[in-house]
Amino acid sequence: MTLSHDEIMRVLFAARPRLGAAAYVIARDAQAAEDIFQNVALKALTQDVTFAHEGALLSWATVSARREALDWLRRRKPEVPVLDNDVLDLLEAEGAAAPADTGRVGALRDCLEQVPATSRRLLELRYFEGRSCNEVAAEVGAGLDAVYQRLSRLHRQLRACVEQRLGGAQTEAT
Amino acid sequence: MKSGPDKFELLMRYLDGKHSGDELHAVNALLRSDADAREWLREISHQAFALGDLARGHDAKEHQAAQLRPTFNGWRPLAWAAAAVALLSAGLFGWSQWGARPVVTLTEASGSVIWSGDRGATRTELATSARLPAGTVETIGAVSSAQLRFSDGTLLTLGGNSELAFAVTGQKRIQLKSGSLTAAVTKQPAGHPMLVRTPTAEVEVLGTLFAISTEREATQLDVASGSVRLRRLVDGRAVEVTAQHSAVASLDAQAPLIAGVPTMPPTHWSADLASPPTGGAKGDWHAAGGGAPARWHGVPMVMGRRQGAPVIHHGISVRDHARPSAGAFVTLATGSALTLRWRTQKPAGLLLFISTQLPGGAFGGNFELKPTKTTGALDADGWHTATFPLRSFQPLQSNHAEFSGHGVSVAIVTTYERDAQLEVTGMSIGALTP
Repeated sequence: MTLSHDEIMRVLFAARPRLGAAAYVIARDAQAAEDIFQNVALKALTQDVTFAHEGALLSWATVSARREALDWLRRRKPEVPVLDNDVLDLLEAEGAAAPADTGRVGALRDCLEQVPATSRRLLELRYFEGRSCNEVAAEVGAGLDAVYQRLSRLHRQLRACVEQRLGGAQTEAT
Repeated sequence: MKSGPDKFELLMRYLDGKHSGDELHAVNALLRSDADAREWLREISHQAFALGDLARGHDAKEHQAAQLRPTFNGWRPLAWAAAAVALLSAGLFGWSQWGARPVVTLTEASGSVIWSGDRGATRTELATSARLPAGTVETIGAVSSAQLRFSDGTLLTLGGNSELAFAVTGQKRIQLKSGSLTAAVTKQPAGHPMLVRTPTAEVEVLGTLFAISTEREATQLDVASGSVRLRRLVDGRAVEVTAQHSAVASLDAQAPLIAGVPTMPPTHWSADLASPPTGGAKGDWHAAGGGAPARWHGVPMVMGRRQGAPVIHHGISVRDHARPSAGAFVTLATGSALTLRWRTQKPAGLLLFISTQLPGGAFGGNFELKPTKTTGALDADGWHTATFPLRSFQPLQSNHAEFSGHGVSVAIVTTYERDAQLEVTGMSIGALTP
């Protein structure tokens, strides 16, 4: 008994935020992380490989995403080193054990509506246009440390907002 | 969340790729010993990935995936995979949600050209010099074409029924969803190559001239100058395609992935109208019988769009049957001519159209001719025969006026005023005989 294509797609889509984030930790490029997830999904469907159960698929996809991300980094940014393997193992293991991210993207979208335009510009430059923090600093006329601090603060605010919204939604559901 | 600013700055520097060797050592040590730091790193990565999704409108796509899933049942595996990848990548380039600044200029347009952005924005009556934000450009109909220019001078030319999404996110990102694209790419910044993705392949370009065409299960790359790295998505294998070489990347991982020298098509060609259309050709085939020769009847064809409505002609189109994507099937010379044998049930104007490629596959221009209605010798069964020198055809793109040495990738014959029941029993292209 092996997973059907339907089941493979369902499982991979459900695990997409985790696999994409794991790829991002290595590649540090949001678009590359998306491409890596797509490649993993394509290989799951077209290569001569079968999966006896969901766990086997997720293990394979996690290993594949890491390998794809490392390949991408070697090809595109060979000068940028990456975390040690044992640290990546830890991150992936804890990520796999964390609860699923149902509704998180929608909550994040709502939270972004509350972010001031100047802060959104910072996120846009960093994560949409793939600029380095140095380039972002030059663009917005701030120092590098200030950009790190502002991004840090924004990530904290977004996390707090998302958790509040998800908590609120759960309360309403119950 | 208890990570102090020092820890956080260290993680931010790691994600920025700006850490020194010592700092990487410190980051590894931090992450080994501090569960909060690991949670923060995962959190930032989740947010970064999700922010990308929001920019692409991807949460909506996930919903679509759930809705579409049952329709995949019973598909052949390769087609299924192609559809899945198309779905997965469908939201890749809709960056206009937060970034509506124009990134390309439409420098040439003929036929029907449509731009659509995120959140349903659509522009159908595009004029030359229109400036377009990231989004999708579609050319509809065999005779349509569009040329887009980025601010650095990079030119993209779409032809025929093609759909292309584009964005600039630190580098140029192109997704050719279907059809054919020619790209003349100026030198790109080191580390920021232009990326072109199709349902089956990805290419990275630092500066070159190439043509790429894709169908659901295969992508063909023809390089005119420079070199391009073609990566097959199904297994990640890659091949370097140099000038005057071509390669095909399909969903079949067992197929060879090699760059070869394409053979020049012959200088004479005759359409096989004794067989039904294949490989993207269009026409309603009728076998010989009742004293009539084998022939193709005209079928409705979208030739463009006017004031939002499709322009329909009735006719036939022929193209190369042997290649997985659009390829040239005859090489033109100065003295080339198109010979046609046809008849109609009603008087109607005839339109002859050819689309050409440069050697190496790049777009070479479209040409058309509307002969006078009295053209051609007429036999007792109502069949006209006429030869039309290519030099009498009008170029449709101002920067592609020459055809000699080009290959023909599509030839079309239609009646354009009404459905006059066009039938074609012979079509050939070759040297004009005196």
